[in-house]
Amino acid sequence: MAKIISNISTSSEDFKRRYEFNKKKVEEIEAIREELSKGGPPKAHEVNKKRGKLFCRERIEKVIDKDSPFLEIGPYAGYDMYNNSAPCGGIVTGIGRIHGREVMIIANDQTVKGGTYHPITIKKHVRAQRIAEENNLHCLYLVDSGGVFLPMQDEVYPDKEHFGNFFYNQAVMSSKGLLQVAVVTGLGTAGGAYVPAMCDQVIMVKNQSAIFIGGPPLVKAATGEEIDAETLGGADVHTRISGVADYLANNEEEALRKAREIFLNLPRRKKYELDRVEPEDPVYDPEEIYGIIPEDLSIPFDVHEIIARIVDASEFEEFKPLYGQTLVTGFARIGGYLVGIIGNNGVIFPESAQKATHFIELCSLRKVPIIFLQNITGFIIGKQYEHQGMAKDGAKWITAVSTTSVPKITVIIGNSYGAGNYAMAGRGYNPRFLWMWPNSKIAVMGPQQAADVLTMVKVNQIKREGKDVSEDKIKSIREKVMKDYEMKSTALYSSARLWDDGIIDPKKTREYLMLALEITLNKPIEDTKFGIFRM
Amino acid sequence: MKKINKVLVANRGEIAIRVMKTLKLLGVKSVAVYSEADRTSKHLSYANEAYHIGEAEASKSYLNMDKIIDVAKKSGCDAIHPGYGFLAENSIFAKKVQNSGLIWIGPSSECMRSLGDKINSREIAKAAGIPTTPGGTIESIDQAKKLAGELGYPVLIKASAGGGGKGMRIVQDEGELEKAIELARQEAQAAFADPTVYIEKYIVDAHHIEIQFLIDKEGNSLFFPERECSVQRRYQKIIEETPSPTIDRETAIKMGKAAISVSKKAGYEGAGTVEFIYDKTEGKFYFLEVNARIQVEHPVTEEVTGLDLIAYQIYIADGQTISISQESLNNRISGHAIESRIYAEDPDSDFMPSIGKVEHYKEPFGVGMRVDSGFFKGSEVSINYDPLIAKLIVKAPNREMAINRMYEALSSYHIAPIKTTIPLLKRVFKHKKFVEGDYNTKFLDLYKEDLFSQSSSNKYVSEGLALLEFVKQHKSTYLITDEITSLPLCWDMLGKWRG
Amino acid sequence: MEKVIINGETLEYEISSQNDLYTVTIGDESKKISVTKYGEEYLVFDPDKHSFVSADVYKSKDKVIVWIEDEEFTIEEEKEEEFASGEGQAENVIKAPMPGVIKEIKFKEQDTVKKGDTVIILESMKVLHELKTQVDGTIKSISVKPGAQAGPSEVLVEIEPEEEK
Repeated sequence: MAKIISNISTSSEDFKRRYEFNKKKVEEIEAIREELSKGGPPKAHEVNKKRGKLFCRERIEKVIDKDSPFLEIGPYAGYDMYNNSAPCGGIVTGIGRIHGREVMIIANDQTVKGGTYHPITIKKHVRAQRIAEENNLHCLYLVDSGGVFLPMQDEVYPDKEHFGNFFYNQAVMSSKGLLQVAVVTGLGTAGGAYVPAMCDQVIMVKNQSAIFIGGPPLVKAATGEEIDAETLGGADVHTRISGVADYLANNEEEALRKAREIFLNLPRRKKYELDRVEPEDPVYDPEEIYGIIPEDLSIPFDVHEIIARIVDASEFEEFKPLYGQTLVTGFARIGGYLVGIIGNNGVIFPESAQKATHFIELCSLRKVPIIFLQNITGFIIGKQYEHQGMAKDGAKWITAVSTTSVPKITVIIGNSYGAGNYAMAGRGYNPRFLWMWPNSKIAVMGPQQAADVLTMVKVNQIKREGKDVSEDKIKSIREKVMKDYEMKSTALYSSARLWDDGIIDPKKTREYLMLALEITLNKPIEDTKFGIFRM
Repeated sequence: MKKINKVLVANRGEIAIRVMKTLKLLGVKSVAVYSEADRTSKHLSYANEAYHIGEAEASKSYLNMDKIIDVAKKSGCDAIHPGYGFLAENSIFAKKVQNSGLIWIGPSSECMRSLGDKINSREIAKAAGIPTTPGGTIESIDQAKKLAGELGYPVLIKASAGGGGKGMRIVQDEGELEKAIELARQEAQAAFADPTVYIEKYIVDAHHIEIQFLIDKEGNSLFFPERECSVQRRYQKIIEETPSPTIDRETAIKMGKAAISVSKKAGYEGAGTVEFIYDKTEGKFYFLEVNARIQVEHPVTEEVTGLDLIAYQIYIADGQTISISQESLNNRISGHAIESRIYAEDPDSDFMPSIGKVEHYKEPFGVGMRVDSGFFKGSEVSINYDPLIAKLIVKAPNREMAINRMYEALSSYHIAPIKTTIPLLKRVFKHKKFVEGDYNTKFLDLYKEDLFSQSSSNKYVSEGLALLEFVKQHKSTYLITDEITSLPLCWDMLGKWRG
Repeated sequence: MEKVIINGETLEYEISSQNDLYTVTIGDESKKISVTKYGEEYLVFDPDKHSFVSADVYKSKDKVIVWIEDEEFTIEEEKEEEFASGEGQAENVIKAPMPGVIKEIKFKEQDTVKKGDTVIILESMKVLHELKTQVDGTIKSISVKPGAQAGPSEVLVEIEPEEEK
């Protein structure tokens, strides 16, 4: 493979300015993540402590292997939503190792509204299960939840990917041999009762956890029977009388140790043996990415420079380097693993779309995972290109991206606009993981164009009402529309809503990809059967 | 031992190890010191205790007199052995050691100071009736011109305080003289902080021959068979042998006696070496200087006499007397010994130091082969210190056999990837002139076309290519399945990673 | 035909192997050699001459050093010529790669430019494209003005390349 020769001058003014800008941006994002990771208000933490309970993040640290990574999923969920009352969506999800096995951990945060399920909590829970299922990961549920957040029951209960979907997923995963384990450290009420009940193995903590379909207040209301939680569905009841749970632990620590023991005695599975060599660090410092990403994303940057700072030894074997140059395709190694990389270097032309399709075919046949580095403003438009069949070539690409069975991992490093998002394995195309860089943008079209259209709509509306619209008025409407549109295109807005799996520090992208690649290898790569390519 | 029970060895590398080996034999405890760069060096494991004394830079560690004395006192040492190089011939250090109540294993500070000055040491030699190379101090350019004219060109300009060839220049005719003196002065000033230089006759067929001697506090003395050290590069020895193929026994004994008389004149006590220049054309020898320390090449003398010179250094420092007579020493002498110095230097790039990690290291072993080394696999050759990796010493019944044994030993001394002087040494031991014993101090220069940048013979190329193929097949860059699983997973590599 | 550099000299040879028995052909001469490894040591056997020699090998990323008997040689494998990803023919003109609006022109006619200088900024599909010269030279003509619409492949700038010195 050839080493990428970087053209970046780290002493240039552009570099220094961009570096400062992006570094600050990363710091802002990290500060928000830090804040969100604290969970609920201090008061809730105090109460929790008084009850002798651990914080959900402490539980995770105790249950995973010492000094091993934890790949958190959706740490920005719920940011700036519901008046910021559901930091992290009230649930912590992520992949950690237990006795060397990668396990999806789903932990309710009882300091956030008693661990109840908001719409975003549901979405995060389902996303975590989906990752587990797609990558053959066992699941560990650290249950401490009061069930659905009643005031929003209409948004959490009835639909396909709502609360009920949890149990369906558990049953299906269990049937595929993916172990479902629950440690109940608090309440599992109503629907919440089924999370442990649907698990293969359940641990409860004495005098702390309880599982019931109807809690004491509901029992009283329905039958007049007065009963306390422990007697109704405590650990003793379920491990000795009902058999709803399997193990009785004297305290949380013991319960978490027991959970580790269960994973220890699980048969080991072999990972898919993707071609691998000794890993090597990139030649160029990944932190230099800060100096490459422009503040204003309408200024293009060369994706080769990014690849050089992500892949092993900065080596890249480029495929079709002279053809359809607005798209960069090629093979490289990350953490020693052979991967295909597709990155954007401008607008998609019919040639670039054909090249992408060809490259995805190569990777699919060879069973090589594909990394998508998205910085895309869309497919080229105009008479010449429509006549050339841009839509047809775009369709081929989308067919290939949709039907390949190799793992896809997407990082949005710049723009993610329009159909480009689809072709470059956006959220709708089931990449195994999708992350965004702090300065990236995601929307159906660019803010300028959108603002023009939206302003026109508004102005026409006012005009229809028979009112006059001054130039100033139009300008102020446009500004307002634009500001709102831009805000809704940010990485933070996206990540809060789980359109992605998190915002990541660009310099750590390589590490995210290394961990993620190994997670995908828990599932064998199947033969690909493509759909029809429109010719 | 009477007074010496624990010794601090103020050195590193092979000589520190060499000294510690003898200390162990004598039942004396040893203390090692080390710099930041030597935290994992080989010499540490040969001592009973080891102490960190400072940064990698020698001036902040191995040359830090007060620190070393402090460590010696604190660790309960009775004596300090300086090895060679670093502080070995520093009379101020010797003084400090003596003043601190410790025993200095070497001649007295006063003796070292008087011998350390080259002009002064020549005066001592003259007073003892030993010829010195004709020449004298330079007072003025005119005087120097006159003197050089009397001596006849070529002449040699030397730094008074120097050694190791620094400040040394050959002048072919009067036209070059003034400039050469000026440059020699500058170099001398830079290297030794003393610009004094002197002039002497330059001997064309010159041999470097030296006499090892021992003198105890009662004046008992021994001189050893001569060592010929004429294979030199930039005035630094790379091969030493004993006995010399150049001089006869009679001359050797004359030189031995001369060595003793000059050393006694200087009040020498301990082990030392007197260096002579031997003019083969005229059959005359001249006093050059006294090395007031144990020398790098002492092992060849040990090999032909079976005596441990380091042990004698310690006995004498301990106040004991030499119990062996000159006659019985003469009777012990047998066979021929040669030493090769293995430097981490590329002989084909003007002896440029070759810095880096010794990734492959295999020492020769067998009858009559001795390796005094300071390295093992994984050791780092650092820019901070002398690049001597090891000394390879062989002994055999006669010179021819010793040369063959040396060639054999060099061939099985494998060091990579750093460059060493081994290939050059091998060529020397195969060189007709060397084998015939017909060489002088200009040997390397004279035969540089035979000795440098030679591609080796290609007898085993096919075998080499088969090995290459074998190695490639048995460990390809693209790992075979078993090896994929033996690589650590990324999840193992990242530790407590939290994104 | 294989190619290596032995002690700095290029050597061409052919090699075939069956298990650990190799046939090495250099020029017209072929030799059979078997290799066995014992621990760190290699034993090399020449079946025709009934001779065994021991060998030692050091292998690094870019070279192999072999010691056999009294010989030592460094073998470097001829680096596979990296596929030169050609940049294509450098053009003396700057064309619009796609339709767009000329946002900025950074030079004027008769200015000298160096390879890689941005001459024109073209806005298209929400992106500001920097159009660079592929050659050193002087700007002969600029056929557009800021704000103008450029069609695909339209020649925007002509450059008089500097004479080869």
